[in-house]
Amino acid sequence: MLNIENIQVEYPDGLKALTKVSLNVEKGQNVAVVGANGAGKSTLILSIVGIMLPQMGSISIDGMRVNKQNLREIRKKAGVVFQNPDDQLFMCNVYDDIAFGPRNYKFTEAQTDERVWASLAALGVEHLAERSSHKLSGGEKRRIAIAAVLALQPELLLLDEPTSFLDPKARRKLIETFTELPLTKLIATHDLDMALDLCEKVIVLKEGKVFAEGVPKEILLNEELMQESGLELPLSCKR
Amino acid sequence: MAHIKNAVRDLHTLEDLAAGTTVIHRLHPLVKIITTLLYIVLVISFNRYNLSGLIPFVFYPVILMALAEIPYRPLFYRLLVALPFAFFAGISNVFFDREVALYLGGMAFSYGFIAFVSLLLKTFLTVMAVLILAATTSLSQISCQLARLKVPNILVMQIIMTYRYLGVLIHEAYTMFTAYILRSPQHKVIKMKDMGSFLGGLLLRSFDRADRLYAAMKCRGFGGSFTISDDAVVKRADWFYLLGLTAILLVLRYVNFSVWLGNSLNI
Repeated sequence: MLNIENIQVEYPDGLKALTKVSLNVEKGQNVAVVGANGAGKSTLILSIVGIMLPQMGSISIDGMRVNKQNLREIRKKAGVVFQNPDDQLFMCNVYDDIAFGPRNYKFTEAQTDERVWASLAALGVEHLAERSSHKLSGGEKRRIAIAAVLALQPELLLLDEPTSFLDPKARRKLIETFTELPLTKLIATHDLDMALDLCEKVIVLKEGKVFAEGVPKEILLNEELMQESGLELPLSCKR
Repeated sequence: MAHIKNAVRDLHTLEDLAAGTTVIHRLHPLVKIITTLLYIVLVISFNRYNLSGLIPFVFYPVILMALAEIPYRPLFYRLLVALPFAFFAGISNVFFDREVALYLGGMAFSYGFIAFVSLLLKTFLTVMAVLILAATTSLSQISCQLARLKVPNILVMQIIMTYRYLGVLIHEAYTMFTAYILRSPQHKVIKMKDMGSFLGGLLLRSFDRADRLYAAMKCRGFGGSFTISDDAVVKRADWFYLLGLTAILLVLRYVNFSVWLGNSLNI
């Protein structure tokens, strides 16, 4: 589904954000990308959808190589849920926010309407359709941000810190929702417990490089490896 | 600065009012925009000495506010922001245009004074008309109709974004202000020497947010223009309102009822 080979991403000031990163995500897999602050998790997500194109290496989604010519198609295949929903919800009400993507892709109003309601239903938030985005709670905003991405029916969902700013109940509800969503997911997160619960594979980034990769229990429960990568054991394993 | 949180709350008062269900709220937004624009144009079109002609136009905001069940206080509170500008723009008339226009109760009133009062009244009426529109029509409806009226997409987008992110910006300013005060307990306001870095920090945060927002928009296929749903239908009641109000406003504009009433009562 997602294939990344030896990519290198540099910021305009010359700082290397990712160096020789290679990874592979199979269709239907849930993969967590973990790492300390500044390890390159968010940059990796932005590179996949071409917001920051790599200077070296290649990224392909479902066999389609990410380049400037096909970004529109790529961004339909891969939807990004940003860390802060306030960066993503900007229209006057929830309905228009969710309809923003389908309308940009020139779907008819009837098709857009169908997709909006389907996305709202998938997240169980139909009752919020007419509400103003800025008046929602943190958990509601997050669900609407996900619904807004689902409206384009992506094959790959890229989530940047999806559980940040959420209270425990909203976090738990969101993880349950992720479990029910039949999509390939790449989740950049600090929430190691979620990675342990939800994902089949974990990739550890350290200073822009892949430091370790494997099944969650092997990686996340390895105290030495976690410490070396600037992380700690999941909270559930500390008790 | 200490009332930043109130400012955030105030920002959304009009939006709460716009969620009403009165007869005015239910009118088609395009009809409300057209009648508001017509009202503003007619009010502005009066000669600056024609104070008597303007007076009947006061009934428009009064009647609309009553029908829309809008409380006076939040609108007058916002009006206070605009009035000082009109006051300082018009006060020079009083000093430079001193020719006596009329005597009332033994007091002489100059043309300059009448022009000054007329400017204040025009400001009051036009600002109230816009505030009533905002208090009876949601921003998404207004934006949608502006797009329908072929207002450039970029302008409509600016209106939506400004409204949406003003609250976020104020909230960020409040957070920064709180952090500042907590480390500077002897001060109640930001010192002038720190103001540059405070505003600079706020600007940089805004740039960062704008970058992230634009990235989020591009990820959902944004290519420079967007559309908003428009499912409101113009009904018969909307046509009655539009034609009726237009006729009344035109009559008020070209027939000076104040003078007519004064002559009839022989005042």
